[in-house]
Amino acid sequence: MITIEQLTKRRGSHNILNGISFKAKPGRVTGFLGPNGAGKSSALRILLGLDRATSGTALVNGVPYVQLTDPLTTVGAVFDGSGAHRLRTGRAHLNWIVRSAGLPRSRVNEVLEMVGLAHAASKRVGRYSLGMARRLGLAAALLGDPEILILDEPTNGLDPEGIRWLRTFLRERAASGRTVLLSSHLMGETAETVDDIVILNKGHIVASGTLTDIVGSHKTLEDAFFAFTARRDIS
Amino acid sequence: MSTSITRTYGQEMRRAIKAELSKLYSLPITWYTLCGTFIVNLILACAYSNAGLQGLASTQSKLEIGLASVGYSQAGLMILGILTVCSEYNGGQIRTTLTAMPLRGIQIFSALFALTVVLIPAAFVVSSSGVLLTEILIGDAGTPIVWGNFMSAILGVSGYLTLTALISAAIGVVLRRMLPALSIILGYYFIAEPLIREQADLAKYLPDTAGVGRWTPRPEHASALTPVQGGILLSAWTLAAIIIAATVYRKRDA
Amino acid sequence: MKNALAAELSKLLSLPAIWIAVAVGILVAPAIAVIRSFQELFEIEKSVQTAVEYPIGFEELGFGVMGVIIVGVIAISSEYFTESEESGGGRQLTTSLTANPSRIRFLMSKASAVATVSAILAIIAIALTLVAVRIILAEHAPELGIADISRFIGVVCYWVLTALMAFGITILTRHAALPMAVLLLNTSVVSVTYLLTRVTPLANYLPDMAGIRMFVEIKDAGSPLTPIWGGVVMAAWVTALLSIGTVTFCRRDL
Repeated sequence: MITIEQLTKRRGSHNILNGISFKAKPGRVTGFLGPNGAGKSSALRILLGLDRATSGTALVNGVPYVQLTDPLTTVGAVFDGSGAHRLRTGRAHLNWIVRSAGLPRSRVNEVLEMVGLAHAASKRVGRYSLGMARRLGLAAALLGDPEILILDEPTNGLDPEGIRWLRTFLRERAASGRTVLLSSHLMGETAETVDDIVILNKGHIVASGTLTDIVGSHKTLEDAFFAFTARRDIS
Repeated sequence: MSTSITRTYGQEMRRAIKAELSKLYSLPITWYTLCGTFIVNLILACAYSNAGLQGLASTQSKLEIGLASVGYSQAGLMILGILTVCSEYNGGQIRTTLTAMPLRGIQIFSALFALTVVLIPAAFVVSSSGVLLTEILIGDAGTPIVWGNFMSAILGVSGYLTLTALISAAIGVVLRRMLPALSIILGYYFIAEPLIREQADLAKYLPDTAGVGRWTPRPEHASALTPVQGGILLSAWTLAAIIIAATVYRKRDA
Repeated sequence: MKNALAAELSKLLSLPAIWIAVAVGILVAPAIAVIRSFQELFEIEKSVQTAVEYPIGFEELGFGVMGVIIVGVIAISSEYFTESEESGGGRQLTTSLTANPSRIRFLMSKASAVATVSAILAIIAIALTLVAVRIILAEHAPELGIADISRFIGVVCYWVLTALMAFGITILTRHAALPMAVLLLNTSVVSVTYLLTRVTPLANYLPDMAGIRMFVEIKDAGSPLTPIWGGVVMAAWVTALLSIGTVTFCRRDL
């Protein structure tokens, strides 16, 4: 369970997040939508303790991420890019993460197989394609077999096969009672994956609810998205 | 629920240190820098020994000639400190690091500890290899090396090298970028400090001069610090640098 | 070519690290000159000496090249590596070479941008250094004559050539750390190349030892080169490095 309450982030005179609140529930895939620069990544960075909130709270299972006893077995996070040093091999990258969490070494090969990166495990990350880098990021997030997955624009750089694989994978995670929160600006892809939706625009939440609620009378999620984000612009 | 506090800080730290050692080990830069430092140090020691053989050096002490090259090769270990710390900011690795080890104080302390584990033997090898090479090249020509002096000099120099590299790493933590950190550290140690050392009396309290006193006591300066005082002062500088770095690191957005 | 140069200039000036380079380039030499001028003034007032015994200002300008070394290095390294968080394999080089497909012309315009910026920095640094020395030492400041004009030209040439040398080495290494470390270290108060002249007189023909003669006399190294020939030797090194760099750059895959 992810609980975000009255979260505000100010950088200089710029308001990045203006008191946003939402929940991501177990057993559901929650889509966090918004145009570029809406504040999606900032919210996720605060949730993971990377950035500090100006005010408000972002909690994982009721506590701030930093206070989790076993962060990697509770939360897996996938950010843009690989999250690995370009000169390290994929396997070496996963190895140090495993050590930091005291997980069994065998997990490295398991996740490499799972994301389909076993053949490139000994290559340097700098030599990876964009899609391979994303798979490595996902592999790192899955090391602790976490109950919560947080993914920032996960389909960026994935090929059609990878996108379909990821969609099935995330649906399965949710079906087994785990929490999935993913940010995206791709409407078509999101509509096929998520149960719940939160739409962010210019640091405000402009809509949230189940997929059917949000789409409502609109023809597609995309139409609904533009209706919600445009309304905000006018007001 | 996994939210109850069951793990101790000690356990947390042991895991973090293992992870940080694994990072250092798997980073090719670590090995390139160490090998580079070692080789350059031997080449310079060779040059100094040659100068010593031709009577061009200001001293005939094989110990001093052998350690002279450290004045330059210390840059290698400074670079190691900066590069390993700044490598966190390559490819967005810092996000992985901080999601895996969200207690930043423990993480940064473990990273510097792991670096120290690599630095101490490296410093020892660099400083003693120069003296050994000089001993081989100069042979009977110079003042013989007394074992006790050799050991205390090597210990002093290794300590100096380790602490200086840690100060560099601390600056790297604050600046996050390799280029500015490298410019500041090399500019300070190789240009600013040697110039200030000659000019101002207070300069003896600066990190470099305090450290230099550890292996070349300068009796001609009545006010100069003794090696022990210098060592304590340099340790204090290092500690201060690390505390400042850790404070900045804990407070800021990653 | 004009457009390409303008593009490269704006790229260079928009790098965050350029401001460190500019600050170092225009401040280091004047700052050292200020410290030394006060020292000289102090000695003169104590009647230890009656006049400044060395051409103050010029030696200091030799240290200022640190700034343009950074310019030369980052001009290339920024095309390959961004130290920013987002990786995604984002190399600017791909974009640059799509915009300017002739690799030779790309390198030439980049080198011209580096040379232009370095020359401007050199001129500013010379002016600031001279003014500082003149203000502090007043009537004790060394006279400047017609002969000094050629030395100032020498300083500008030395800075430009050093920047291009840094540029050339970075084409080969791609990564900034090695050329930065080697070149910054060698601007140190007692440079490695100067030490090498103690081992072999051939070291006088190394680029920096040769080039610095364009504006500083080095008496104790045995001076086989006149200022003009010093410049020629350094220019030859730089040309050779740039040629090797260009050939390598044109042959390799991005």
